[in-house]
Amino acid sequence: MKKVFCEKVHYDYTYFSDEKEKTIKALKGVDLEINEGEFVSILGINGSGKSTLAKHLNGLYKPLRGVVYIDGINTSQDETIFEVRKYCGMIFQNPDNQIIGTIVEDDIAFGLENLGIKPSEIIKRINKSLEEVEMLEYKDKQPSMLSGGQKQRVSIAGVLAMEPKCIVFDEPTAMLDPVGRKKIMEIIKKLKDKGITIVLITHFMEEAIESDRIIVMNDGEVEMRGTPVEIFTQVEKIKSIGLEVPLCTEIAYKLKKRGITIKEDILTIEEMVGELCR
Amino acid sequence: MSIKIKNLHSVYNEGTVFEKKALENINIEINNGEFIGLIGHTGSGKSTLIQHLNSLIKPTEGEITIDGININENKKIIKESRQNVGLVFQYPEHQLFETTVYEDVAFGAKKMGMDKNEIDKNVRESLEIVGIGEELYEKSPFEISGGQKRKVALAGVLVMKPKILVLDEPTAGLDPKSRKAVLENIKEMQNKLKITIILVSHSMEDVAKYADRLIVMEKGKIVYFDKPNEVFKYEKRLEEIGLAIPKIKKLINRLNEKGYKIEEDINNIDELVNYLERKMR
Repeated sequence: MKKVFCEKVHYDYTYFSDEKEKTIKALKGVDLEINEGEFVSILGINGSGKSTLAKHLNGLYKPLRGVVYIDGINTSQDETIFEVRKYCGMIFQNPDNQIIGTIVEDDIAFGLENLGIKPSEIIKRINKSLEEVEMLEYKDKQPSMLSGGQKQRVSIAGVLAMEPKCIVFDEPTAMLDPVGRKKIMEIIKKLKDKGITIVLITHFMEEAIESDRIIVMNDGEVEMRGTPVEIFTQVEKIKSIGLEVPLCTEIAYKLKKRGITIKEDILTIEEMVGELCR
Repeated sequence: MSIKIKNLHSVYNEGTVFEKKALENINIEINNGEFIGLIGHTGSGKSTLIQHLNSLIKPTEGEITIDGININENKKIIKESRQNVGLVFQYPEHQLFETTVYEDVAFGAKKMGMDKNEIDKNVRESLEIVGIGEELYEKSPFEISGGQKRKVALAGVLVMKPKILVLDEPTAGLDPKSRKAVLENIKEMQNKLKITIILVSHSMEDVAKYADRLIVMEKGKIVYFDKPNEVFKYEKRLEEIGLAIPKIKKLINRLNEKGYKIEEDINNIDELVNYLERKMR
């Protein structure tokens, strides 16, 4: 089922400069369909429209032209916007901008209190969502005492407590150290296994490997769509857009170019070791 | 400029219940013109350490000397040495505020009392180094892309001609191409201007590629201080403290465990491809 559906979405940013109105076309007719439970990564250079697109998926932005349906609801209708936001949660790059509570459990309670959920249910959900991100033992800690990765996990718990069916992650690991990054990816995969639809915007190609499908944005348009193997084996094209391919894919590509027989669809270190040690 | 840190200890909230040792017995000597990578888990003390370098935090115990001068000697010296050390914090673009890109970059130079011609020359040079073209000079810093903002903010520090440049995660959130461009620019500056660079990064790939030596921190202490190739020999230990080794090193280690004999010092993909090509022909 297509739970996330964008058709010919256009979005402009307008601003005033030298007393004249100027326009940047951020999205130029984007079509996007995401199935329930799918894990889709969105790649693209800075300014390609990734984040603008992401903000359309829970109605933070409304299309200037075109239409976005989330779980069958048109995001341009103000009356049903809360349904959209309940369906689709968002996680941003910098956890410091998302945490407001003075202790961890308050932070998670905040969103629930605003929904008018009763206290006993709130407590249940706080425990459940913190457990999901393995942060239950930090329940009564101050967020400022946590590491970046731990804060990001608290942000995720805050979204999980609202029980969304879809979560959009906008570069959730950009600020994190290697272990923090790995942990977030583990959590994302776990949530996918539970049936939550995942949209991941990232600059780390190694993270995109994990997804079912990849969308490559370029200059406000969808330039490529396909599985990780389909996308990353187009090494020249990916590089021409200003992106990279995973290390092992590049090694395989370079060896092949020199006339060595090797599988081309190698993405991970494990696959490369498997291929070279047959 | 060279930096010498001797027996540095730093304690937060000393004498209160919140007392916390942030740095313990740090001893480092950094040579003039060196490119240092500083890595460690969040909370390992990296930020505390770099804030000592321009006296934003003063040592609880110990001493920091830059070119032989104790930077905390007196107020006059603190002020002078601050001008030598340029600090670029995370998300520097949040600090942009002027009406145009040009004015924003010029701000620091004006504050240092440079004359008009010198300011103009330095602003242009700094923007060129970070790869911002003249067509953006008159734009508002708020109407350019995130990557461009980052570069403008970096230029705003370069314009003050620091002798030591400390960068805290300057490439977080940048796409691979901009990431490479910013780092290449920094490397070029190090070579051209002979300035000392300290790069705080979570990207093992980046520090492996650009740094002469790495400082590895854990819980306020220094675990390793050595060349990248030496540091990255400790895969297990680095993972224990929340870090990793570059992907290429990981691949080489896995292959060597299976009987390959690839030299551990190989750092770049082309050298590895050459090796594999010889082996597979």
